[in-house]
Amino acid sequence: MGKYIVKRVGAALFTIFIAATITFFIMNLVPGDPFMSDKAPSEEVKKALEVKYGLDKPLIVQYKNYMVNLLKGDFGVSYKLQKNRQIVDIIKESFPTSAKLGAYAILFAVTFGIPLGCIAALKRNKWVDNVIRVLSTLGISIPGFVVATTTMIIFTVNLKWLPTSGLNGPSSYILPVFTLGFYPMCYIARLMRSSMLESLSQDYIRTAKAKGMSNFIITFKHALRNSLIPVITYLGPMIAGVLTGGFVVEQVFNIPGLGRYFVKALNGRDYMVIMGTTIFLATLIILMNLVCDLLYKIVDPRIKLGEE
Amino acid sequence: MAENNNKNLLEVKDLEVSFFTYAGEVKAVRGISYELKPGEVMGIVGESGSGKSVSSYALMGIIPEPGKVIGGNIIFDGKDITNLKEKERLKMRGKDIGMIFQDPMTSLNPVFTVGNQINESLKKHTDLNKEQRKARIIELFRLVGINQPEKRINQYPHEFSGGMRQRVMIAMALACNPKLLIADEPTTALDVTIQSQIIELLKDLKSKINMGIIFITHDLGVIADICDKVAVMYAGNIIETGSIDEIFYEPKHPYTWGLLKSMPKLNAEEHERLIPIEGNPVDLINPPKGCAFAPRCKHCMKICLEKKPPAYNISEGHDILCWLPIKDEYEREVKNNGKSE
Repeated sequence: MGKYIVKRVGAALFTIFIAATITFFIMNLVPGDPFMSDKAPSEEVKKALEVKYGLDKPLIVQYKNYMVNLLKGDFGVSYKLQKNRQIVDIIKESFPTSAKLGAYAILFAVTFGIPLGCIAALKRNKWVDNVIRVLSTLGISIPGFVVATTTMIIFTVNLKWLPTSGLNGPSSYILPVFTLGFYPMCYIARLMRSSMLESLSQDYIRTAKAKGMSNFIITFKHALRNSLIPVITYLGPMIAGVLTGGFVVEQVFNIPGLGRYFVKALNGRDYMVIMGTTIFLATLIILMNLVCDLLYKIVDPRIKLGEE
Repeated sequence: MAENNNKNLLEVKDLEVSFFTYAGEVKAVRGISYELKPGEVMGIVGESGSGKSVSSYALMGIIPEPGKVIGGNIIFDGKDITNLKEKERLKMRGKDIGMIFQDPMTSLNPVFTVGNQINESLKKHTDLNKEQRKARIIELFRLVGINQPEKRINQYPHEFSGGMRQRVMIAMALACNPKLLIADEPTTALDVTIQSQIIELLKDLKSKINMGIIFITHDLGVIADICDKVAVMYAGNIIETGSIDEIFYEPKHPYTWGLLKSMPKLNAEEHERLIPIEGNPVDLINPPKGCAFAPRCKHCMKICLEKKPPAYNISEGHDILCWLPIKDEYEREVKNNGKSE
């Protein structure tokens, strides 16, 4: 187990390195630079800034400098959005907001998605199943910004029940959490339904029936645990994505999270912010995948990690 | 008490089971009747799709969708359980009737320890406390011949071999001392040496525990050893039933003849071929008007195709569904009449 984790961490570092490298060069291929804006600074000022941040050097040297600093744990500073502020500080400030929102969204997606999938599987081809299937297919097909704006129009503009933007008080969480968690919930419900149906057709379900187990135990003990693997597989990257902030949701609801900051950084070519958030996101995804793989082992004792 | 011993443990009367599929009603079991006394072992033999498994699922009330019992009665221990409510059924399943299945590799839940899986049955059906349940599971493991039971109960099914898993299944079925054990092809998925071990185990258990056993198989060889009586099923009917000796040495139905001929023999000449039963199983959506076996029968007569044969009693406990003995009887009568005239 320990050996396996060490191996995985090694592989993870390599993956992060590759991700950082690719992002670095692609980012620099995009036309424009951090200092272009409506009020463009004079040539001299721009030159001075470039020298200050080392952007006057050839790309390959910039890359080398960045990587060396990265190894030292230095993520650099923002060029534009929050001038000269450490990237680490920026992430530290904006991530908790995103993470809090994301955690609620995941909780929402899992607590509703899994039971909905189970119910649909149990009531296969009955009206309940049909309703859940239509709903979840809709949820997967409708883009986030449509869900966000539609719910906003209904609940804040027309009904005036909920605030439109920001995160002040519990009621302001409802819409962003729903919008953020709706897609994963629908996806989980669909995964759960099909995987549950497969589990319910297995021989050991018949054995459980023959032992006199009630439908409740059969579904939630015998079938559920066997159906969880595909859901866990999906949950890993999903959790990482949702925690770091729905770009759309944070934009629409004007939430000061990492997602909104990432979008701003991209638009402003704030190189170090882009790099920092990308590496952060990549690390989180890899970490979540590792957690998932360890979870498999707990859910299904047949699964062996590495060369056990 | 003497009366009690003669009382039937199980009586099945004209049981009919159908599956309502998109293609139509599949009449899987078309009116079968049999009786089983406590401690008696009955074999049900038949090819795939003859209704042998489905008829046993009906006893348990676990016929898979879209199947349904559409006629007949099942009387278990003096009580009609044909249309029992699901709640009542749950109390019976696993307690009064235990069941073991064909494929031990897939019949145990892979994500729970075997001890856990037996424990849940004990927890549901008995008043034993945790310690007593554990002791009972260990006792069961010893009974079915699993070594080191204290260690083995905490293992997962994938840590057991096929034969051992079937032993676990048997232990599970016996956990609450059922009055009836249904063994649905318990040896089919096992290789021959393991097969004989499991049969030996069941025989051993049969002598230790006084319970009725229904042993379902498509392999006549397997049941010769263990059964008191045999029912041969074809296309949802029991076409011949009798004691083990009657079925093996004096079979009267052409299908039973065919089954016996198609069995490999130990003393067969080299290169001797097995004789298959020609033709295909019947379509159970539109079963033939007459005898279901008629189209494949070498002794088929005109009446076989037109009218379902009645039950014919050969001797006490030996019945068949066939026109042949009736024809013989008729011919004898004609001959005798001729002589007397």
